[in-house]
Amino acid sequence: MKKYFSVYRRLCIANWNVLMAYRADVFMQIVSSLAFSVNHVFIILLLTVKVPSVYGWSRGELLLLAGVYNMFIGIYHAFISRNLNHIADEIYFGRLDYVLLKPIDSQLSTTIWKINYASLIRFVFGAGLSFYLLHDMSVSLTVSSVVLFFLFILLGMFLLYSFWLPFISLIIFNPRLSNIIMLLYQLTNVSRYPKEMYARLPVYMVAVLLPLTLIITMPTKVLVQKFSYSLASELVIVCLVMGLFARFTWKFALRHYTSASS
Amino acid sequence: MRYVRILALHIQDVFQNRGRSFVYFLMGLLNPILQLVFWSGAIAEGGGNGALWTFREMASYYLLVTVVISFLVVHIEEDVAFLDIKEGLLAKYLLRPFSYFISKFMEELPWRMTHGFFAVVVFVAFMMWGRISFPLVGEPTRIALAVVITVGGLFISFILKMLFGLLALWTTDFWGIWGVEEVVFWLLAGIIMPLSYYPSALAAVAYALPFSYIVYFPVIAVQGSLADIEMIRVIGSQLIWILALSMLYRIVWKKGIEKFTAVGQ
Repeated sequence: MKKYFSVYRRLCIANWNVLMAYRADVFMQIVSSLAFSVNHVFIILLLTVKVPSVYGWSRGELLLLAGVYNMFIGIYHAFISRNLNHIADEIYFGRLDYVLLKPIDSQLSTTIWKINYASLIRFVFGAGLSFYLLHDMSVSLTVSSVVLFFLFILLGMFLLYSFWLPFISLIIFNPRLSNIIMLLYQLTNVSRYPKEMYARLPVYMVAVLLPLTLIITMPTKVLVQKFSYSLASELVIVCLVMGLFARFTWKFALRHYTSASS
Repeated sequence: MRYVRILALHIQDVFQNRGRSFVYFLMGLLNPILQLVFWSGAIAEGGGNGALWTFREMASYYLLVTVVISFLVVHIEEDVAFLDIKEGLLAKYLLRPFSYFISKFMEELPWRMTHGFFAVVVFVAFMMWGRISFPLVGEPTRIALAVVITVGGLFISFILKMLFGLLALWTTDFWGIWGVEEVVFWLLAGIIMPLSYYPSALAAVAYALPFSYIVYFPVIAVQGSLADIEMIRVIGSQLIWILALSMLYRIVWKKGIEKFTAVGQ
């Protein structure tokens, strides 16, 4: 365990040095991250111009959902998604060998190698927006609700990672599908809308996407005090199942990896 | 003729990568569908008339947006910026006796055709499955005008995205510009909802910029929501944008190519 902490500390420093080497790019990345953050808030504002509430969510709550989404996705893009994006390229170009030869767990090394600090600006934006909205809605935060909120954010992070990894593993079987990672970025948008929205659709159409609908809805419900234990247990069970499934598919796919000629 | 041969080769390439092509198509499909689901709930909760528009109008708009995005929204800027400029592949194009601009157009066209085909299949399937009849332009003259607007949208989209891609000649990294461009395009092209439902100030900005001529106007032209005179006005505006962007492209290409170092930026 100590070895992993040491590796991660060095990776944090190395990624920070890379960031500082291209400062103009950092500025553009921050602008870009902010643009994506504002984008979703704009979408909700536009969609709710004439509709005060949808699916039992008021306009303020939908904006809060957008704020929490930005907090969540800021952390996810900073610490996880770029690694999975990178691994798709490594498989496509046949360079996965370098990852597999490292003396640490392959799944972990594919997850922690790259850190995109600029994405954390989305977390800051989302946190600011959420605080403002909570104050506006006169919702008071308690220590337990904040702890529970971050616990669900972490669970959501694990769930989204477990959702992405089996798709990445698929690329080992068909490297030409490396653009599936772009589709995963789009699929993550499913979590930006309330879970109740998908209840109207036939289960066979959205069954695969249902785990994603829990990711943002749960922590947001904690903030607006609509939290329920049944929904929480649903999230924990889905996390466990998806986590095990992701680990199994990754190991299974690696057994079929045939290096650069695959 | 030589460009037709290049096109034929790229068509083969796209068919070889049909799975990849389908994944790209799904990416364009997802967001309009999410908005359609969002609105369908809003309309249902309002008893069918509480929102801005009816389900039929909404479904027609978002499905046509999917078709138009698939046919017209070019993604060549990523190739230009990341592969050609950042990784230095532009050098091979410069050594060939073909125009870079036309070569890239021939590369992109088969992708647009394939995605458009997938989108039309989805559109027809939805019409048959949902048993919904959508308003579509009917008279031959108006169909011809709608086709001209659609083709105009493709040209604007292509030149604009080529211009964005060439900006990588001045920047080390393109991710930042790409992100801003994506967001601005999303907001101002009419993908989120029809521009006529936007707040007036934002709608005025959207009408003034070229993005709406790539998605919004082709969609409402195909829907038959534009009067003849408005269609001609849109074509006129598209021509002005094509000319202006082409001139800008020539300037940017001339200035930018002097900065290209052939081994990646």
